[in-house]
Amino acid sequence: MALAQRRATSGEQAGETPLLRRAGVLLALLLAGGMILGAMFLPVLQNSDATSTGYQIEHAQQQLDDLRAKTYTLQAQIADLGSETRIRQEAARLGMVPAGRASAVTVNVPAPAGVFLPHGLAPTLTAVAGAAESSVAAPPTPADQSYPPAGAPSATPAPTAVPTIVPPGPVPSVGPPP
Amino acid sequence: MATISRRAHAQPAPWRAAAVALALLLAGGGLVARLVFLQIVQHKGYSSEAAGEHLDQTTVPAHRGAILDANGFPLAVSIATYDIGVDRHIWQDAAAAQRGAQALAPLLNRTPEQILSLLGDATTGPATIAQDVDYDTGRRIAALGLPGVLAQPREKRVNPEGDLASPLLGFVGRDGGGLTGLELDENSLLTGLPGSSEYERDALGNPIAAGVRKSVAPQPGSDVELTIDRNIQQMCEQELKAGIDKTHATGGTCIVMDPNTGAILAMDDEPSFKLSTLDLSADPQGEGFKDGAVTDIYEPGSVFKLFTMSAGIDSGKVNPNTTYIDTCQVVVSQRIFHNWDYSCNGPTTMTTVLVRSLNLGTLWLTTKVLGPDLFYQYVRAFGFGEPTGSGLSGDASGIVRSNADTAWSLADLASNSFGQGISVSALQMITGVAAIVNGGNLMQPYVVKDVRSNGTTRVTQPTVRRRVISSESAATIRDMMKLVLQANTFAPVPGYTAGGKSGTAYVPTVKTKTSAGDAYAQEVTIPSYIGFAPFDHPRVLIYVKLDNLKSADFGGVLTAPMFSHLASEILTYLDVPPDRPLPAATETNAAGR
Repeated sequence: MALAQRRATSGEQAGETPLLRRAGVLLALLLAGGMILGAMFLPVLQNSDATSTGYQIEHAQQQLDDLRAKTYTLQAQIADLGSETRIRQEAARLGMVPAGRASAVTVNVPAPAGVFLPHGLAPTLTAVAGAAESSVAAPPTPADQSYPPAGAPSATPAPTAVPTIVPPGPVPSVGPPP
Repeated sequence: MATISRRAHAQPAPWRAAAVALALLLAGGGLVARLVFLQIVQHKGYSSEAAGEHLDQTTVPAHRGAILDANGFPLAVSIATYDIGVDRHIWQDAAAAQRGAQALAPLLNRTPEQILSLLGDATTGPATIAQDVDYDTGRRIAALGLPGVLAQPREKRVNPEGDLASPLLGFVGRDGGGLTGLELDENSLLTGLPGSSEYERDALGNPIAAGVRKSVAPQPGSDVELTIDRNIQQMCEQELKAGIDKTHATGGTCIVMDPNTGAILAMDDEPSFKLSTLDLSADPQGEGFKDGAVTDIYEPGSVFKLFTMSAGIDSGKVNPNTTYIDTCQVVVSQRIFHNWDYSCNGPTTMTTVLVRSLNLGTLWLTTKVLGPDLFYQYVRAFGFGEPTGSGLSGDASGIVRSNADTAWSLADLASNSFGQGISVSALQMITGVAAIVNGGNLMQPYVVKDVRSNGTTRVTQPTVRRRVISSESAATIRDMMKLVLQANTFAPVPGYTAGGKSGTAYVPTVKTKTSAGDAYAQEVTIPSYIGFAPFDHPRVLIYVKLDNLKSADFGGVLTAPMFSHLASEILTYLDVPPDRPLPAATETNAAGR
């Protein structure tokens, strides 16, 4: 009896074991199949990704080339717009005329402290003395330290005082030596 | 029958098996040997051949560097363009050609017929149908992917300042390489290093995106900044053009130099080619594509007296007050010499020799005082007879015939003393006088201020070639030049103390023999003026020269005003304050500005 029960139990166990084994084998096969499919599909994904990246690189390179070319073109356009010839044309269009000879004037008002005045434009001693006398008569207040001082004559000379440059005299009939 | 059966079952003879084995062995060995030969011995050749089948390589041109003026303004820059070509073989198919031409026509602003006519009679090979197409249009054409249409990226050189400094800048060829001027002289710096792109290609020759790729980026060329100031260059060119127009000279030269460093601030020579109207076919030999200020030589005339006097002063043989007796004429080697005005001045000082530009004075100095050895020693020390070392192509040496030469005579020494019988270039002249102005140092003239590349800047340092005269002698000559300038009505620069010297040279010719037997066309002259300002701290040295002038006027009359006007403009532009009071009429005591 006991033997029969043991056989029955072992028979049940024997019935379960093939099922489990079969399921395990199936699972393993599925896994293996999945892995094989994955392994087969992975290069496709990789290639696709590489191709996509390749196109992106190519596109980026082309964009870089385009931008570089645009930079060069814009630099040339800036140079064109800043060219002296074009500035002259624009100035003429705006009604400007070439400047005459520059004039240099000697001022008789000393420059404020710390303000550089070129040697050639420095006031003469007489002018400085005259300015000093006037400063004694009316010492400037701190607010008058700006240039020109408030007590000084108008910064705009009268029309008759506008400095002019006399052009060279008439051409002499006898020229200088060669 | 039994005999036959015995034969059939008989063992094969051992030699037969051996023969078969040997044959198989030989065949196998042969195959192995062939494989070794192909796979090992010729591996490199076949692998490269195979690579050539599926790999392609293109050269990526490097961006050509810019040429800038002294303040960084571009004088020559490159922009990206495309050349459009057509593969004639593919366009042999009339339908394909028609489709392609119709697609290209609106982009190239041409009719399809015009495009097709550019193919010519040839049936194979590429045909260029458009050059220097702007970048965007070229990209659009390339993107169309038309069969047989080739869009080749290129660079085009443009000059934003137009014709400014044309002979100095030069131009590039279709390959982008410099052909003349600075484009040629500095070509190695401007060109850069081209890159390359190697890629795997498909059957149509297009790159495979995921294929093998190897690329070397191009290294752009360096930017070359010049000592040339575009504003001063413009002033120089305008003054020269006005001078030529006014005097009907055949040409002329204008050079502005910083005498302290040898830096050339402006240089122009006329006649010369213009970049805007360049026509290489008009001058196939390229003789006109030069910078005459550097390459052309001429007899300088009386400006050369400065060097004769420098030799006399520096050698201690004379001083400004040394006197000679000026007779009406002097005969040297059976040739008669006289002053330009046929004057007889009696006792005359060296200062007067320069102020009145007396030929007999410098003749006396060389023939009676200096002698040929000492004189030519100074002439060569001032840089005559050798290139200036400017680095500009065609840097002329000039012609200095000295007493070491066989055909030389004392008459040469006499005429050399006042700048005849000796040939120099304009650049040599200004470089020599710069040595007097800067205190006695012969500087190496230069036009390249610095070279910029990859964030680094190489600055050209002024180079002293040698000391020619002492600073004391130079100061003495400068003082004499001041007196010379003051004696000329046209030369003074308003507001500035200056020094200068004029010259008028006769032009040698082989066609005309004058009655005196000279090989000079005395009706044709080369007037010139050289001067510097301000006197105490010279900022500019200016040399102006007019060529082949048929005028009775002398250099001092014709070219001194050019110097005066130019110096005034340049000093104002450079913000150089006046160093002496202006004439009374121009001064004001108004208390203000």
